[in-house]
Amino acid sequence: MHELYRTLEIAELGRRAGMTHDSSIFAAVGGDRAGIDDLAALRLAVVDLATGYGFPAESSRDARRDFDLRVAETLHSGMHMVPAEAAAGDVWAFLALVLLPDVAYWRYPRPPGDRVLATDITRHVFGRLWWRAHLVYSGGEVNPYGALGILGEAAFDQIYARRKALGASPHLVKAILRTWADLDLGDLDEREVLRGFLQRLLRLSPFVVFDALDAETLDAELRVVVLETVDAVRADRPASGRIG
Amino acid sequence: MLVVDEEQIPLPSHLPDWDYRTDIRLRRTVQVDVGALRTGAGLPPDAPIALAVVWTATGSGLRSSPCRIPIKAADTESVHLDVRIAGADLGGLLILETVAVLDDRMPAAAPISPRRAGSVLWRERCELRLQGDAPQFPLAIVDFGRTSFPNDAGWHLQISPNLSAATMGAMLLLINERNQAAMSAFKNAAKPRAVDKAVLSTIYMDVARTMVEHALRSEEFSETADYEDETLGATLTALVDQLFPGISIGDLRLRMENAPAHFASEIQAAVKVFGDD
Repeated sequence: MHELYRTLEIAELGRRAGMTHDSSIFAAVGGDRAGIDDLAALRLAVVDLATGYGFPAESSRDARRDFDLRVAETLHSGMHMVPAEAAAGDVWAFLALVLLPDVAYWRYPRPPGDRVLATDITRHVFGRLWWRAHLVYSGGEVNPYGALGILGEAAFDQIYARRKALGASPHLVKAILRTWADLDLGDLDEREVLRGFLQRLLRLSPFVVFDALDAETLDAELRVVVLETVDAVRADRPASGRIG
Repeated sequence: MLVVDEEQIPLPSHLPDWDYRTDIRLRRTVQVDVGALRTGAGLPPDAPIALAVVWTATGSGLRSSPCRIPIKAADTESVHLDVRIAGADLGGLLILETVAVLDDRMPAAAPISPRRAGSVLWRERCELRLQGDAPQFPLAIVDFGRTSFPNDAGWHLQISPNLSAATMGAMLLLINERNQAAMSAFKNAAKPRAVDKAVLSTIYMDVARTMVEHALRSEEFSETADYEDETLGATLTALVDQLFPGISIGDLRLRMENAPAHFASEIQAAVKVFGDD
């Protein structure tokens, strides 16, 4: 399907969108099955959202970034899935190839296979966004998805790519985002500091169990690590930036 | 220890009957020699220490700590850990670590001593495999009062007429949560009582009968049909072959049409209803 779909126009993909497929399966046991009405509602919500960002016409990089943030929240809040379900690549392949092929191939024109097949969920057009929303979700907050916008996609991918060590723990991811949001980098290169910060956390992870700390202590420790990173970057590249 | 129905059992290596609606409850007691822990790490007597449980699930890729207990004693302390982990967050291999960590920064600690909050002073790891390799029958618990099925029915097998569809998407056994006997039988399936065995055997027989009759009533179901692996047609072919080896589909169809009551009994015999297993 993917090889064919890569060559089709968005309008044709829209005509091929459906709610069922002969190869679609459900987990043997688990929660309530998503019915046709649920899937139709999800398609409507995502297509509506995409339309607001230029779909089906070509869109700018900024528009696609903003669409990602909004659709992450829509998928996470609207699909009523638990992590055990969202870890199944088949769910995401169904979304990209059957339910929303037009939106998937609009978001990533002529994509490599993993963007739609979910052979790697951390790269899937929709799956990566559900997980991004899940990792930052704070149920007690007025805006539970508020942290979604703290890091840009490329920056967040730096955390998510280190999935096992850093991106597996919502507790740690949220603390990283809080620490980052409180930081004033001045004129330092954001990507360079973030990369250095995450590398330091990665190096510490065999000896330090961040998940065993409460949020306040964790934040204080991460603050020290990020300031060490800033000092190291500044030592390499003397600059006049101010640290917040 | 694993806690099942308030009964504690030693942690097994795997839970083949687990599914993600089942939370994991674990208990253990750890005797912590706090003094030795601090001395061994070169920490001062007032160094804050906490004991925590951290789990990682390979199936979901998630990690979390459901329990952390600061240790206040100066010498030894017995710490009871009691954790419940939501099954919805789990899958695959569950890696459980019990860790003792430095619970705050100690910037003034000796150069060879841990200084960072979260530094590991002691850790112990064990594993629990949560899913078996055996195929599971697609199953859901529903309240028949909210469906078109009779409120007092025990179960219903939904099965698609499309024999080319994937089995796991084309078939679903619904259990009525209002029916206590059926609910108890499935709840106790890992350790069934005599009554549960009888109920499960009856349901198994009825599901087999429904599937066989569904296949035989389908005009496209035949020996010459070429169903792809894991389709409903392939599953039904395998079931009919298993229950009635060497008998043609045409013969079976005639038996069902001409002597339906006798054919139903043949299916009971083929599945060994109320047999030992």
